[in-house]
Amino acid sequence: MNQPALAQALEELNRWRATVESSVLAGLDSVEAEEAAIQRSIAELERQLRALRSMRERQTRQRDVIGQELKARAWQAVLTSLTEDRARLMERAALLQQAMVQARADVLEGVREVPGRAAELDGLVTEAVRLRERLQTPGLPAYSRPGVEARLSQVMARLQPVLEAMEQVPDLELEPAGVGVVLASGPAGGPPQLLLLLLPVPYAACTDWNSRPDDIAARLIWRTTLAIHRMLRRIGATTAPIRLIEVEGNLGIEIWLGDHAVPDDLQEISLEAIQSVQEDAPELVAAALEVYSFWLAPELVDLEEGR
Amino acid sequence: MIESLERLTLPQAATRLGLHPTDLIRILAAGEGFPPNLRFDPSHLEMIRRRGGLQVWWGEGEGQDSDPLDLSRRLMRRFLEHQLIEPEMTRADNLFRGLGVRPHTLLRKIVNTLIQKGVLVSRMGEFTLMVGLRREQMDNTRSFVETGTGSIGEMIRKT
Repeated sequence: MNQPALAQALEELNRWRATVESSVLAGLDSVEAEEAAIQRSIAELERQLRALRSMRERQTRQRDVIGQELKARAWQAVLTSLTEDRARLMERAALLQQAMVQARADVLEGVREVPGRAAELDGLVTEAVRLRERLQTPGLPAYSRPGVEARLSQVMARLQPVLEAMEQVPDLELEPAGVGVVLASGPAGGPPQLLLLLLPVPYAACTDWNSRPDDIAARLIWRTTLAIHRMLRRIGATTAPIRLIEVEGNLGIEIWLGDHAVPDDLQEISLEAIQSVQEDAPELVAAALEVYSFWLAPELVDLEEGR
Repeated sequence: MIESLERLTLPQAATRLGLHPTDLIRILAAGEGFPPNLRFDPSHLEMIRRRGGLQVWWGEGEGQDSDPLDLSRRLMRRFLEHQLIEPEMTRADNLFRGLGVRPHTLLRKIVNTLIQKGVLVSRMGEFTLMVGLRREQMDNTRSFVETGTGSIGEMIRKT
């Protein structure tokens, strides 16, 4: 018996549906499996990413620690060398002071050994002192002044060889030794605003200048100051404010250049300036001291902390 | 006695001029004439005085017993006498050179107040800080110098 046409159609429809559904389900399983695999990969990659981030943080911290450590070690090395150089310089300063006192005494003794010269010298000195006092007398008539000045000039000319011999700096005949001046600028990574010089001399040489001897330490300050001012004139920064600071007992000279156009070759110019300190410095030659200058990279010095 | 005839060391020269040695060097560095052996004779001192514009504003013992008002009037009179009205200025340390410790400390405080209140004007010069009288304060200053009163007098009294 033939089935009704409708029943045949429904049967056909069910077969078609079963075929299609089976095909779709198979596809869906495959997509889901692939999705799950990708999710697993993502999770794995995220885990790896977290691990890398954590590693990077550790490395960054370590790098910062190394940077700080490097700075601290560099600063410590600077202070140690300054202290050692200062001790060397002060030792030679004391020797030179003694030698100068002796040399002056020898000059005067040498003069007095020549017959008649002692009395002549005493006479000239007494006259020169008296003439100077006279020139400072408020009531000295104007017409007398040229005559007194002329006579003083004659007397001083005769005393000059002795006075010049007394000013001579005797050679200590020691082994040459170096002392270092440290220079640094900041901030790192920008145009220099601050130039710092550290000198191997006691800070007190600059504060107690009128009560201590004008020794090598003091003279190194004066000569370095001259070199700095000449350098500032060269770069057109004559009005740059300068501060004298104490750095662990040593003298620091801080120059604010923030309000001036600083040349690119500031480092070379500054080093040249310090090298010039050695020139025309008989006291350094006599004490066999050579001044070296060192430029510290901005990354190695924290100028704020240096204070 | 021969020591008194020797040329001066740099600290001695600085003391004689009433300057810190580094300020003396700043002046010397502006031109020729730096003595290589750091020994100074009277001609060097004269050159430094002239080049640096150094002046002695106070005689020996002057201002020793002055009260703040009297000291200020004397100071401001000098500004008018020397015509130090901006842009004309003088070294800030000239204002105090020659004074004893007590009046020096007192006057320093007064000068700081006068700068803060705009009576005096200051700027960094080639060698040091320079100070002058602000032009619009001339009448006030004249009145203060003559009578010790007015806004400047008030400022001094409050210092």
